[in-house]
Amino acid sequence: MTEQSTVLILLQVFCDRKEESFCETEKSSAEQKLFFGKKIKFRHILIEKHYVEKSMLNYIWAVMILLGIVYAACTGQMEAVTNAALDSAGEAISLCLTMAGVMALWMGLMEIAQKAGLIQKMTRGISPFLQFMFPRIPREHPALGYIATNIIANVMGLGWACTPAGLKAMEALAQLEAERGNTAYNSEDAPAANRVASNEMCTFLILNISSLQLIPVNMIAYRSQYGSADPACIIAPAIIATLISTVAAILYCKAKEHSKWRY
Amino acid sequence: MEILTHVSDIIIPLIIFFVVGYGMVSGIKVYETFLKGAKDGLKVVVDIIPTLVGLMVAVGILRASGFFDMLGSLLGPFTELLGLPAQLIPLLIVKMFSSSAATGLVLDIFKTSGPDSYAGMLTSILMSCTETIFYTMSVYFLAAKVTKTRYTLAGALFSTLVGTVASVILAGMMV
Repeated sequence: MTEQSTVLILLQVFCDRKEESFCETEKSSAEQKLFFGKKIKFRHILIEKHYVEKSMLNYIWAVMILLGIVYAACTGQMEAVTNAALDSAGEAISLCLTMAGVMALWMGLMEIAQKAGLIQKMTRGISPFLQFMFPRIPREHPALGYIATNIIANVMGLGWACTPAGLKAMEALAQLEAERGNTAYNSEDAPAANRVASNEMCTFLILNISSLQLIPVNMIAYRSQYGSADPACIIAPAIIATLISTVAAILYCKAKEHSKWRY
Repeated sequence: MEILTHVSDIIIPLIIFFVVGYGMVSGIKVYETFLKGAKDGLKVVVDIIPTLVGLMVAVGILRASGFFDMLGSLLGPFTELLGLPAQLIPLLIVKMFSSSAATGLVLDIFKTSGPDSYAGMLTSILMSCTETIFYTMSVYFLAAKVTKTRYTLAGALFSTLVGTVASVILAGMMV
């Protein structure tokens, strides 16, 4: 097992595939015992059954609360902690009220853009860029369509549309590998550990993670809630920063694609 | 940077004008469509209320206990050499794993330093140009059943690093 695959398994254990699942601890506690009882089988269960119920957020959340209370007990800040816990809970609700307005406005506009065919038009509009980034994907392959949808959804801040399109894109890229005669991708029963990411998969994910975004809607809502004089003033610098990180990602992928070193 | 602020100020009205205008020209019922989308937007917010309550309480406890101040005075002298306020270190790490946990920390920075301070600006820009690396990688590669991810992690970390440096420079120009 190579270093990368071990890293990935660790990630799969810890990452919050279901970010909201930290309220579902009861359901997964039985599965947790199974995990710790059979440490070796654990990895295979994970890969083969898509098992990522246990989330990173469980640990982050618990550690923050436990650490905070223990530290407060040591420094004599228990009263402040009591107030902070109660105040923060109330504050979360007032924040949601501000966010509700901004989100409703943005999603309303995006619905118009969607219905009017604007989003689809943009999706088609980036196909020259996709052909530059993914020269080896045949033009009519469905993977290109899913990748385009994912990128545009990212750019327009349509969180709900990104992930499904992204997952479909990954499946289509796996299919493409099978069509190319990559044996690890040929049958569903092949041991999953043998699947090596294709260049296209790496490029797609790095692009995705570099996160091109036009309007950081959430950030603007948070800023206005905490009394910013000009909540939207971050739009231009944010666009520049996101462009720079995406260009860095493109250069990195192109350099890797042309290097002979395959792993 | 006046021009950056100016561009920021006109972008939202421009988008609204363009989208509504485009909708009118294509002959759809813009108002009804807007209402439907707005309703979905509200549902999204309602869904994240429990998450926000949980995480803001956790960060609030940690802040009130004095732990962040201790961490800040410990790390501050080193990180400030790089232009990063010490408050941002936990944020940068947490953001790689979970965007909702990062949100809790972002709000804490806005509350304690203000969104228009250097730390607030840097946080705003940084959060707009980074993505939860490990979360995205695990979910996406799982969909293709791939375990050997080759250079993806290195590339993702590289682009995040470049984005961070760019954010530090831009935030310095804005304040």
